[in-house]
Amino acid sequence: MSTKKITLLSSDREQFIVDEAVAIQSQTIKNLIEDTVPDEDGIPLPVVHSRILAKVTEYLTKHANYKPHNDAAKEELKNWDVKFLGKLDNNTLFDLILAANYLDIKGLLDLTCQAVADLMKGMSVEEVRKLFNIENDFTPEEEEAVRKENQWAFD
Amino acid sequence: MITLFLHIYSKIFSVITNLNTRVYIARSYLFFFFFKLILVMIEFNLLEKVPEDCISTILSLTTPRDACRSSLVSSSFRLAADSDVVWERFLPSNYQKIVSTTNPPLNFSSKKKLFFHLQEPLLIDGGTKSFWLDRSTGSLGYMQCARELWISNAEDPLKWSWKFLPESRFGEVAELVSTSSLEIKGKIKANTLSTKTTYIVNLIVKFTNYAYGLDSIPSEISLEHRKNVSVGIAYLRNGDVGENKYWLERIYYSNRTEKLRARIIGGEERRVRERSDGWMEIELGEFVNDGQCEEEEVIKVSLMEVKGEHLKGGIVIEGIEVRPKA
Repeated sequence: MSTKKITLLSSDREQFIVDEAVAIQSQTIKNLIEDTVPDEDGIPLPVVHSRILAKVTEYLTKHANYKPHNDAAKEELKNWDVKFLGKLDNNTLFDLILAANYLDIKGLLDLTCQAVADLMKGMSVEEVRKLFNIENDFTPEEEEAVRKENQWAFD
Repeated sequence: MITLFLHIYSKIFSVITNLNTRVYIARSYLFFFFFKLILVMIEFNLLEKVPEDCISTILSLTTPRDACRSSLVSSSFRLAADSDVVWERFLPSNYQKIVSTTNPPLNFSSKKKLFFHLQEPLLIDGGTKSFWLDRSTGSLGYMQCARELWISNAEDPLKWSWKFLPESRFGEVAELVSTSSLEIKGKIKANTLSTKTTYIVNLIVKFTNYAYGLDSIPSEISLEHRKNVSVGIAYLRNGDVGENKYWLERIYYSNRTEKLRARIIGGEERRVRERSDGWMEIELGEFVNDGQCEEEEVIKVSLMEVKGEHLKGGIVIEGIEVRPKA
């Protein structure tokens, strides 16, 4: 069986050659293949760094080649996802969310969002700010008002 | 940031052109250098900016408590944490059905407001059942009134008296006047409850001042879920008062109580616990609603005291409560 190969080009111009079936799990790439004339170097993905694109293609390759047909296979795929997440540091995890969001890969977006959600459970406000690298932009009055509104969550 | 760099780039570029030395090499080198820098900037900027709909998705996968707490993180988090996307996920899947059975129908400007409104027990089905949302777990709690239970001889006015009590959420409670065999059975429909939730089933009761004969022998308790039956026993007695009485009984009637006790087949002893709403609860058992049930799955619970054969009375039954386990 001959499979069509697709070349993806990361933001730092690194090429990733994957099967078409692997690539089109991303709705964005699917649209790009259909709607644009291919660049001779490949399909440019200007917001995805090669470091992240490597992870994305790893995920896509596993999920394209693995169509679970029974509970045991589903369980195996689940375990693979857990292992895949386990190897990521927090920065990579966030970059993967952005990439999954941009590339429109539902499975990967759900997986990574769930991972961050699990990290967040029970975290203090300050810890969440640190995790998301976000500044507190409330005035003290606003902060007090929001705190009052959600008081039960701090008890 | 990027425009600033482009600006600096053009400034340096014009200076170099003016100098008119090795223009070509310098220009291409500089172009490459700035191109790289811009790429790094793009990457850095993206790292900081998780789009708001991603934040909503993430928050919808946490818990109501985590979502509320995170609204204090920043203004963008607050917007995400108040969004309907998040609270739609926390509301039970069948909330629309529940909300539509209330009279008048509930109308809310946001899903978050609805979520918090539903924490207060909501009477449905003509006031025979009540639902509420447990805010920590987001799971549904459920209570059915005594009329929805099967109670032996319930219609015999010499045995049971149906009355209104202001401290009950329901219009009617059942007060035991006198009976020799106390039998209470209830059925819970699993498909009205939240999935992936462990539930505790409690019988909600009260004791009148004239309560008698209820704790001479423990009542037998059971919960049947699929093929699993869990059993237990409970002495129907009022907290501390019961404890003292128990010791007196031990002294005066130890022989008789021991004999009676021997008629009951084991099971873990459950204590009657006091509740914050002025009622008391007896745990009938617990079960896991994993959501893999058939359409009409039913959980059966019962409390029986039929082996003492003596008369007893003075217990008030409000109903059974099915509460998400914390």
